[in-house]
Amino acid sequence: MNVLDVKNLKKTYRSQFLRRKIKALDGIDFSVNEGEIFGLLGPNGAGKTTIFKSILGLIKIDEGEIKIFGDKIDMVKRERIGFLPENPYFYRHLTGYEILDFYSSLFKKRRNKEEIKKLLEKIGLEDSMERRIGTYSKGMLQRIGFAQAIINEPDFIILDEPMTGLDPIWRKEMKEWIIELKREGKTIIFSTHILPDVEEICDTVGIIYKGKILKTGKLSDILQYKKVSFDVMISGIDKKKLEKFGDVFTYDRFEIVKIDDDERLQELLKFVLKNKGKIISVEQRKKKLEDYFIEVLNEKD
Amino acid sequence: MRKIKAIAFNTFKEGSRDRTLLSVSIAGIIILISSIVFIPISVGQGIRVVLNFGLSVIEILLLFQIIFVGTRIIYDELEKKTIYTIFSKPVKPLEVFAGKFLGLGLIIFIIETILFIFFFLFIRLIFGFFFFRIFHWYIFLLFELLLIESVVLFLSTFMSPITSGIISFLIYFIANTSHYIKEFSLKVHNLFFKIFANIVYYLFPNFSFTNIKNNIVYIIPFERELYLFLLSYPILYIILMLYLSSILFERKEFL
Repeated sequence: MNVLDVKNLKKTYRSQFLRRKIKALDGIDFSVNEGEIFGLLGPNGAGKTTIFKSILGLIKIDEGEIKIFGDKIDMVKRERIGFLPENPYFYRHLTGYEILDFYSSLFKKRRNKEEIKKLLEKIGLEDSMERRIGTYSKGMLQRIGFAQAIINEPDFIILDEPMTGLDPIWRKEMKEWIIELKREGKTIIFSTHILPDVEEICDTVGIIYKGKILKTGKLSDILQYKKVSFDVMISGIDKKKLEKFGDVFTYDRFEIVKIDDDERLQELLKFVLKNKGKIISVEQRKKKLEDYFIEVLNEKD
Repeated sequence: MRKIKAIAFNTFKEGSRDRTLLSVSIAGIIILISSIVFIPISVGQGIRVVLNFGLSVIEILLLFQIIFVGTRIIYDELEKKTIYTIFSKPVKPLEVFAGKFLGLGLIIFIIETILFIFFFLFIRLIFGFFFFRIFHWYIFLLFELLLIESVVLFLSTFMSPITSGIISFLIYFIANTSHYIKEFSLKVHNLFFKIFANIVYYLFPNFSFTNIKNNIVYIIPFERELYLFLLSYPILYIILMLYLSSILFERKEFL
């Protein structure tokens, strides 16, 4: 079952100065399945935040259809949704505890004192819960933002750039929290432009660029695409003779040949053995999401 | 109702911890004390001068407070994008406006109470008697201020803080003078002016019935039925303003 269905989503803004039309979203189509982590990848200004605002009804769409839990968003569905905005800002004179208590009171099921304290403990802010938000660092704000997004124990969680402002330790924690939510059966969609984060935790990815979804698919399938390349280290054969197999680099007294597919690798190995060369090593290189992402963007441009 | 209460207390906490409550109260008390300088030069009218001055100071101070905080209360939510975390939750615009209105209203109520109690004791100290009549004005002023607060919130949904602040002042001025315009229109034979006077009189808030300050200062009796009026007109006007604000907000895009 799909938790989110987005069809032909279009949104145009007017620029502030000359009131020119700017296409923010240009026919976006994608779905998020129940219980998966969906990563929305794209450079800054690609339209990721606009998609989230459209989903939540914070902006009105020009065209298209958005269905959450099978229907349009309403107050009942909002009870089941959690949202962390990009660079969240909170009421600076309230304490960490008061903020969570406030957001909790906006839902039917209000969390009690103990539950809020437990949540603050989880995000490592139990010692700062009586401190005013105005004194919090960016990373602490991000963590409080995450806590308010899950305060209602939502089924569907939208996280806009959740790793922003976090140091490596809390980045790792954030990833673990997201995976933990998935284990609890929640569905998560998050945006980022930091690709290794996506590789670590996503099931499905969508690549968005200039208001269009260029590719969507299972992360495992995407990484299968041209899944490997090989670096073959060879000695005893002239560099020029190896160039017909791929790019060749000299390292120390060895030649390294970069091979893109299995067939060519077999040909190279046979050639080396036949010409009495020596195979020092064959290293398999997995294609990274980053390579794929850049490839897709380059194709588009 | 729980959501409105939560937003109201949130607004109250934010506003009161911003030292607004304390600083406005202290400023008010200092200005009220300074009214003592008028007594030697008021040729036997000391009590009236002090009353007039004191009650006007409280009114203006609270009006400034409402306009200063009220024009920013929604604007800041939009500017700092805290509104995203509110409207992504099951909260209706009317609940937000009602909550904000009550939260700021509570701040105004507390400051007004502090200032009136101080002023009451101050009069006792200087003139030697308890002047209970000022508490009639305390109640009427509170309703006037709450009404203006709802207008300020309404304007702030589609105007910048400066513009809505200036217009709110003008509306407060009109609210206190529209009955003069209406009376004048009855004496002139100009249809357009009559229409204009009627629009101003009925469309804008109208304080001609609630402004009993002079009755208090000059000990002129006023009809106690005005209390009934106080419980109907301002409340209906406030509900209308909050409702219109929420309709405007529903159409708004949070870019």
